[in-house]
Amino acid sequence: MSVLATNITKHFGSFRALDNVSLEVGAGKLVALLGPSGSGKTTLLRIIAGLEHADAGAVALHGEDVTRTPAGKRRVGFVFQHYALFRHMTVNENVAFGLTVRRRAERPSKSEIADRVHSLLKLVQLEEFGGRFPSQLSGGQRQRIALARALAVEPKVLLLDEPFGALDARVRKDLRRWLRRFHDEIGLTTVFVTHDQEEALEIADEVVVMNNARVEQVGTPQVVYDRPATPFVYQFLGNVNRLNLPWHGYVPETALAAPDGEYAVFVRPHDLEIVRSRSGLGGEPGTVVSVHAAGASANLTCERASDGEHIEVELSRAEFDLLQVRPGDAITLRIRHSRALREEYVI
Amino acid sequence: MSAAPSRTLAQRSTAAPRATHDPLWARIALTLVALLFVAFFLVLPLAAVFTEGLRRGLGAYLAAFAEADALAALRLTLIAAAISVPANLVFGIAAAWAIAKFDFPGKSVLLTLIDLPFAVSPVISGLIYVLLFGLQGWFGPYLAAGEHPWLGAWLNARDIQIIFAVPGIVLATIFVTFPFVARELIPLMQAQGTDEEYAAITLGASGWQTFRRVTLPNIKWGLFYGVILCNARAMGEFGAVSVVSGHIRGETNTLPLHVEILYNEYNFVAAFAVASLLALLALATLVLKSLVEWRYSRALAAAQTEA
Amino acid sequence: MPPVSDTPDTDPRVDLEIRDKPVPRGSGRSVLPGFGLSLGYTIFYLGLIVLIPLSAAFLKTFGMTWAEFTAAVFSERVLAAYRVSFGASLVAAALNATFGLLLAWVLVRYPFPGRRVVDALVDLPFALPTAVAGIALTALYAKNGWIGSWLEPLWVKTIGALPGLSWLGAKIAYDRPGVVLALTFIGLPFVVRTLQPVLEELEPELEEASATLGASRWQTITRVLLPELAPALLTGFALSFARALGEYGSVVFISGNMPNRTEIVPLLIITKLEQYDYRGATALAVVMLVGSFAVLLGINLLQKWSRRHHRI
Repeated sequence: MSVLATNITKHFGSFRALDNVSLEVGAGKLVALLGPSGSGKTTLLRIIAGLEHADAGAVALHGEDVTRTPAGKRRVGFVFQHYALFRHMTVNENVAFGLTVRRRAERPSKSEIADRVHSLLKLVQLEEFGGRFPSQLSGGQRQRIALARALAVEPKVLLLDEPFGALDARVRKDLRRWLRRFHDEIGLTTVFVTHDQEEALEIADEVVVMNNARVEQVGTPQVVYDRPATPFVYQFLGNVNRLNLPWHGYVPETALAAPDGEYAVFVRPHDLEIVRSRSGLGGEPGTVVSVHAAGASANLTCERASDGEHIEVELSRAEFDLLQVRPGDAITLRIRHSRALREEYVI
Repeated sequence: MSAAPSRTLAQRSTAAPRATHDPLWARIALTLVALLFVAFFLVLPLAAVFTEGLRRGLGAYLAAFAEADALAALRLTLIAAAISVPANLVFGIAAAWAIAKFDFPGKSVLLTLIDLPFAVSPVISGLIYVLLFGLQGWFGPYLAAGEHPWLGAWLNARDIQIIFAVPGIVLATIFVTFPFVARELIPLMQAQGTDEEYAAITLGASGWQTFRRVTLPNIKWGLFYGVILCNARAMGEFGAVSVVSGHIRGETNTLPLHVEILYNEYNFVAAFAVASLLALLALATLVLKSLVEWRYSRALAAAQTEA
Repeated sequence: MPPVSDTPDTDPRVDLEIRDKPVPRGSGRSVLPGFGLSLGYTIFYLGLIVLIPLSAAFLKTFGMTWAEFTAAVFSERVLAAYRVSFGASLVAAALNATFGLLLAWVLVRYPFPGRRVVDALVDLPFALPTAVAGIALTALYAKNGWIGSWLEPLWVKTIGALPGLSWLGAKIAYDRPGVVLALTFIGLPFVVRTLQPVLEELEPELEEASATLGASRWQTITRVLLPELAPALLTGFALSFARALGEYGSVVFISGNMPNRTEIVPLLIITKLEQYDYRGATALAVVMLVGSFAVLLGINLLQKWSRRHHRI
């Protein structure tokens, strides 16, 4: 177990940031801490790094308890959202910083440092930028320098705080794929914090979904998306409809239905089917309200005849082109796949 | 992408994380040294003024103010402030309006000129008026008795003297204090932008209406702040006024000059007594300044977030 | 590794603070009224109050021959005054830089009860009339004053006893140390007020990054924080120096006005005026003006340079 946080609780004044949270990260894995602002994910990351101290709980890195160890001695590499590069130093000096502040006995020689810096810059594909200043680099370049700087001290764990949050959408996509390939190459245990579910689902080995100072679910991207454990996870990762029962011709899965009947049914827009009313197949009658078909898929809003509830449906372009419906058409809605969950949260 | 802080306000307001903490002993030591320095260097002089003024008791202290020359000095100080502050207020508003709401070449030259009195020694500030209006100066011959073309005759007939008289003092005071209001208003109005004024114009308001009802309420704290600073300097100016005044007791002495005269006559108690009045003025200025900074920074922050 | 497609941002410095909001060129003049009136009045006022009087000084010196001018501004006594003014202002600005940094650091980083009061007090030298400051400092540091009564004997015994350092001054008040003290007093707010906003805006992430990379607290302060503060510190030093050069009111009481010893240039100008040597006084004033403008220009350039180099 590379990172083990147990029963972490943290308050800032009266605000509770983490409530008895535990986290396990296997060696060599790329794990995402995913959640909305205020969920506690950044606080957890900073506690692992030693930049905050938990009110209760323990942190262990590679089996060693580091709860009392100061940040500089934990051998973690931390990359900040806004890079925190030292702007009066060149790129070379920034990357070398962690090595030059070591005590004489542990400090490598000048040439060793220079070699290490150069090979790191090569690793992040910025070897010609050594003499530049951070102000002369683009956002994506700065982020990679920040990464190189963190790696220079050979950390055992790499921690990234919303690493792509300050970048443009396109650069963000490219850079996160780059990070995944980078991780595969160096194999270092990495934990990164993000509020972007697309990012987490795309590159992480494991996703830890957090909300309101607690962990909602831990699992592979597939699992958290297809089998969400709570309504929050359902709604956070992709769109979802919350259905009022009864639904004509449908019996909810009993897998998670609570015995006392306090549950809600959730269906993803792409798990719904639309057929023409006259097709003779069973299902819930309704009307098409609006259609947005510009893009890879078509998004339709339909109104249930029974109670006027609005349902979002997503069809592939192929399906939509076959269907040929317009706003006002009478249709029938059918559920392909749904999930019943204990309802604790109201939207 | 805004550079938003990565932690919420609630998280920032409590104790800083360990990485940015200095060890406790260092914090205490540095704080104590800083406080000692402030006490020694800033508070003691202030205390000394009051202590020396009260050295012979309250009676002697108050007697210093009852004296005719002191009252005349007080009157002159008030007159100088009462003329220069409004004049500079109008100037400040005009300059800020021109600079903040319009684009024209030579703006930076204008800004440098406005900052000029801060770069010029007070003695020189007074000297230039003596050069202009003194007997040896440009206009001097026109103002003195004797040969007088029409301007001099006009002035002389009304027994108007500039240098070594009240008008010179007022002029010198205006010179050293005119940047204060402008320097407060210009960045403030620049930060607030022109959108609201444009909106008012499109809704049919005239220039004066726009200024009075849209701009003025937005800048009122900056105005007040500038006036406080301007007034403090106007009442306390010493060097420039000293040069132009002629030091005529009872006529051309402001309070600071009166303090100097008393001190040079070894009348220390009276000198410090009058000085203490000025010190009280300074303290009142500081208090008002802090109050406005507190209210004003909130208003300024609000203006900037809306901008 | 596959190359990353990473187009540079058009402007890396995207998160600047609010700058002068640009007014559409040309359109502003015709839409918002009052341009002519406000600009006209501004120029008129400036001309009347500033330009005409200032040019009087310059033009008067043009009335002197070059020989007269050099005699006036390079005489023995004047040269000594330059030395005293320059030297004392430099020392005062250096003292302000040191204590100002300490004060700003403590005020921003170590909250303590009464901090607001101390913060307001920093502006006292701004608000207090210079004459009041002058007599107060003299009263304090004179031989029978609160501080002078123990400091002066101490000074005489230590610095005064060392033969090579007699140029530093034999006593506090009425000698060079007194001048330096007065100039330090009036220049203190400049350093503190210039440093405070920079300290407040320092990102904690910089210190945290340094800490995670293994630097000790001292290393973080000296290698990461102080370089960040250097431009502001330099600016504060320069402002304090410029102010000290021209100071009159707070120095005239404590200096004793001894030529070649404690006579600063503004004092010399007044002396010449009292002797009706208008030409000499004006010539000296012109030299001071040119010097002040040079310092002002230097400060502006300093601020421009620091803004360009240190903005991310």
